[in-house]
Amino acid sequence: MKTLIDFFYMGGDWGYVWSAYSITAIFMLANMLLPLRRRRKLLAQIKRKVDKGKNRK
Amino acid sequence: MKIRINFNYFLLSLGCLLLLSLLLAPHTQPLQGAIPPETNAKAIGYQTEFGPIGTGITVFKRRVLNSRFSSDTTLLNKEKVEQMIQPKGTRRFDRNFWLAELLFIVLIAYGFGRYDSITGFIKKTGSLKYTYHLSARFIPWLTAIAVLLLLIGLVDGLVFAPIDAKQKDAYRIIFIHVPASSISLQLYVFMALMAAIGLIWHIKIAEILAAAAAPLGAALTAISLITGSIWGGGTWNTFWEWGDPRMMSVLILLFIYLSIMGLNSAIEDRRTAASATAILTLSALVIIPFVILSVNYFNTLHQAQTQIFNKNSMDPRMARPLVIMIFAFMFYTAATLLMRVRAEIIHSERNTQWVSEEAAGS
Repeated sequence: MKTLIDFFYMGGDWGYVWSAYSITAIFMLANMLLPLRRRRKLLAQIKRKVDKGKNRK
Repeated sequence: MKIRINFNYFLLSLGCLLLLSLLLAPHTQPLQGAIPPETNAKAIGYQTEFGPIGTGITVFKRRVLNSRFSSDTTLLNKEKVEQMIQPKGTRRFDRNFWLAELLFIVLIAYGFGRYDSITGFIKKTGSLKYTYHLSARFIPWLTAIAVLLLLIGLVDGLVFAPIDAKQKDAYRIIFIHVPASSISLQLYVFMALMAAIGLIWHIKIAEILAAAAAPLGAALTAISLITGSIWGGGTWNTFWEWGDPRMMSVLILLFIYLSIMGLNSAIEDRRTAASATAILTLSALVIIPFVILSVNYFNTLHQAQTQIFNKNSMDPRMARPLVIMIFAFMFYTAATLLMRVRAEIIHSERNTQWVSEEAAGS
């Protein structure tokens, strides 16, 4: 337990180290999720459009 | 609307570049005598004197360095010394490493270009569809390798790497700061190559790759700036210094990425947007050598590039996680780039039959 606390304490530099790492994690996760969401949205949009065209016929 | 390249602009920009390089060229003094123990940039003849800008930098550097690590030899200054006195062999090895990486990027770009031109010659829209399905098969593998390397690198870097003599644990930011900065520069070179291929041969996949690389590069540059700022707050006692060549050039790189994204999204027609963006990308390529060399040729607060394979410059136990993290970021970037490419392909091919089928099947 003590070693774990020591690890997160980072010799007093925990604020610098963990803030940098967490900001990076947020950026990297957003970078993975945004294109996936965009593709899904585009496909849904196209699907709606195609379905509309079929109904008109 | 068609965009034509006027070669007068190229000549003009070349002239401006020459003028800029003459104005900013530092007159570095040669090494003189033995290196004293209390070495800093000035003591080893690294002082550069070049007009009002240089003087300003020198003044702020003295002010900032006095704050915390003024008299002692720290990793910051030691780096520069080690780089100047290191054996010739390691330097050549390091250069070869970067040359090999550049060759790697060129080969990938060339492969993509050839591939698309061959298949595109047979069936024009077929290649984009093929790339869409092929990348779907690649992404899980790339992501898995990236996650694995990230885990190994993080554990190795945060737990097993020893603490730095002066910076203590704060230096551990290096394991994300350096990969992000390095990949942001490499991605720009990749993007510029793609832009050139798209501009010259009008290859669609190259244009899409260039468009997809910009937001990713912007994110990586932002990561580099933010983590660097936090690191500076811990070790230099300052989060940001206006006028520091490294910080300013990276900030300009971020603005270039953002303007490329803005220009690309501002023009409705995809082909026109790609041409316009390609010209902006290629003309802004000037910033890349400036970012890389800013730490060597200017008197900056930022340390010179760490020689990863030089034992005098960096402890191998620190270098190992750093190299792992660089490769992890590479695989991560490749995976997310392909994700963006897939979204872009759907967007640009939204009126075709196969995309409708794809949408109906989803």
